[in-house]
Amino acid sequence: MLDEHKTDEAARKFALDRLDILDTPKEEPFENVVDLIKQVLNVPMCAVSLVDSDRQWFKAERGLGVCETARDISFCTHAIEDTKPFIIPDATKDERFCNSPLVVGDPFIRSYLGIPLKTPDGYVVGSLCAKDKVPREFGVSDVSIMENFANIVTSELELRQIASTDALTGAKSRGAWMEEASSALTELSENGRVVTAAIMDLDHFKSINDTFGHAVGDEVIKELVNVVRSNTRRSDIIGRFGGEEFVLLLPDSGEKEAEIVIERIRNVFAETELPSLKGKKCSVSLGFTLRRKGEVSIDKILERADKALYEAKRNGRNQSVFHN
Amino acid sequence: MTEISVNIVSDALKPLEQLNIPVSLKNLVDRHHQNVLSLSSALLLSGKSEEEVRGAIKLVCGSFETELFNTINTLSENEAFNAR
Repeated sequence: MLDEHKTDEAARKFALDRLDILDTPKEEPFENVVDLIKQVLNVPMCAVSLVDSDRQWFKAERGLGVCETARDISFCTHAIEDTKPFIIPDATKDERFCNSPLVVGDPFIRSYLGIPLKTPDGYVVGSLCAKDKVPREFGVSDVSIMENFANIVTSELELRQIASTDALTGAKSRGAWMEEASSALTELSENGRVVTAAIMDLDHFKSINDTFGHAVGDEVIKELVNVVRSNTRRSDIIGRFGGEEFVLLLPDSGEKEAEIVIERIRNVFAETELPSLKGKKCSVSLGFTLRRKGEVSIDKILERADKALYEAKRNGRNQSVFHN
Repeated sequence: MTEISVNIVSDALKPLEQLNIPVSLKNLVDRHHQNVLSLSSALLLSGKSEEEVRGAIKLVCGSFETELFNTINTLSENEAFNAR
């Protein structure tokens, strides 16, 4: 039987994206792991390699001197095809690698041991690897040590994911959203691209909690995020800002495009029926605004979106308002 | 699991005893404990000295502890924002 975790590349990539680790700065836990591997296994090269769509990117590395290489020439792309250790004792004798630029040229990899890095939801996002410039039979002891280091790396990744994710909905937590939105804004601004930010707030949420209890309130919150997810792209960033308030960043969406998305969210959610609400419908109010030319502060943009949200609430709720 | 590896890990994880670990992190912390125990044993079995193993485990546990502390703080902040 096919294991969908191994065959679904899009879901694997999505699991990697959820970790928000690609292109982030060096961090001590991963630096410590590669230092220890180099020392304990006595290898000249090692890395925490994360396999992106068309590249492998190193969260930490020793002896390689680069932060990424093309995926198609990488050893790690083979290592992630299974959940077992991937061992190449002599790359010059393996037809998959004997002509690889990484073998015949710098860094002259001759032997390789890679342990897949598996997320808690079962996707292999990269590998923890040790490489030598000479042929080498990595033994049971080496594999065991590397497997334990790999578990430590995945625990560190999991900790970060827990901190940056709202446990109830899976949306970004407030701090993580602000960080990601700020960095997206800087990038979009540098390239002169448009971006819209929206704030949404469930209408009469207190009365839902009071009438049906907090468990049902949680269900409503989760449903709103499901609706947002089903009506936005993977590149859109949703975060829970507090209680029943959510924020959404829509890169490359101008006023018209954003309005279509936002109105679709509002309409779909207003039509959603939750059995636990016993026929009562819920609604959401939304305020949205465009980033102004040269604007890089997410706080200013959110301030305007919040004013628009206030208008939407004041005008009777279950509507969206654009702040020009 | 030898007594030495258990002692090494127990010493390295001592600071965690002071922390009030939220339920959502308990499983992860338990797994980390098992991982470092297993790593400690594997390193000793490979012939590393007790001193070397102690250093490696201390380093790994120190980084985890810092991250864990940050995560607990973030979770508390999120909880405060989401209180209703």
